[in-house]
Amino acid sequence: MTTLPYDTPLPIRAEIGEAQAAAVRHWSAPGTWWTAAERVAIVEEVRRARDADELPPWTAPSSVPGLIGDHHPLPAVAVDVIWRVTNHVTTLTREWYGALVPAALSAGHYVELLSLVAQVNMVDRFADGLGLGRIEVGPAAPGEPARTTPDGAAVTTHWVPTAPSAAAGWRPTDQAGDTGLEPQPDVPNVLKALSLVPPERNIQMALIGSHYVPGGALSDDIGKDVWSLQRTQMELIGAITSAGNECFY
Amino acid sequence: MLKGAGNGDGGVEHGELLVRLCEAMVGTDQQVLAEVRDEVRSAMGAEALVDAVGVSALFHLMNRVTNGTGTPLDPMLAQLGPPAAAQFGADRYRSSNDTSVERAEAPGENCLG
Repeated sequence: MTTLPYDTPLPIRAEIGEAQAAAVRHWSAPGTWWTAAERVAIVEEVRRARDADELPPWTAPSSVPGLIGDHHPLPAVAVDVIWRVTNHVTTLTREWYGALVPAALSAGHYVELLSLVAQVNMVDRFADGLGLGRIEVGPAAPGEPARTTPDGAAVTTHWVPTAPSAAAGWRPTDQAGDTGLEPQPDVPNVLKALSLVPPERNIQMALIGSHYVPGGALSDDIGKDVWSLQRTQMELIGAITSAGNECFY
Repeated sequence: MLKGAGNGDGGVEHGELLVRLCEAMVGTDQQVLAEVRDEVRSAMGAEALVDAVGVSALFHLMNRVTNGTGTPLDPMLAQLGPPAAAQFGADRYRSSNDTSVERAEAPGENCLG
């Protein structure tokens, strides 16, 4: 039995608590491209960005004297990405991405960084939204990054390279080899977005299944209740949050 | 009020309250968030408050993933067409310039983000 990461009388479902606990453990583990120590530093930097006085989107925090220490464990470009994605998600453009990758970050480093930043924003906004303390990230776990790329990964539909995906569990094919299924071309594009770094996509799927619609069956049950909400309420929440973040998708 | 959010419940039970909760979660005013949180809990119950905050938090993840990876529209979303985007004001988002449409002839798909 997993210990829930929140000490609260609020009725937080076990599915939510377990998925968030798994995500937080994942944050301090060695990644595919970033070390565990770097990943912990990414989490801490997201929190610093979120709680800081806001900078304009065109001001890179690494360019502000004294804002980023000389011995920061992350490269300046990573810090700038973290602040931009955390505080100015409405301003991410193809041009911005093109200036970063591959000149300053590899595509793998970028996708893993983006995923971590998005996860921390999510888990922390959940805690903030309920007036709870944020979950502490653990110390960096031992080990080295895997530094692997899925077979068939290429730039096809997104800015970032993506890997062919299979329907079962909607996992990248390199992690669905035991399903016996052929790659399916009709996986929703948002679920392909992190497929270059499969462990990130797996955590994304766990968070979706526990906080939104289990199993990803999204379009055929609009009249049903899910958890304690009506599907129409869920879709309204998604639409309004996406409008606030100016997400066209 | 967010761009294009409109007024009222929009045909959704407790819709206006949920809109205000989402707006507070996008913003940074902790007092406003605390007030609307109490309202949601009183009107919908503690379980619904937790689940509503959970869905909104998840979309903060999904929006960052889609905006940051150039995720193209799925055919089902593309079929909603320009009128839907204009109704929400979404055609004015920066991300609308960089969100292409992919495989428009494919069967309808699920969407998230």
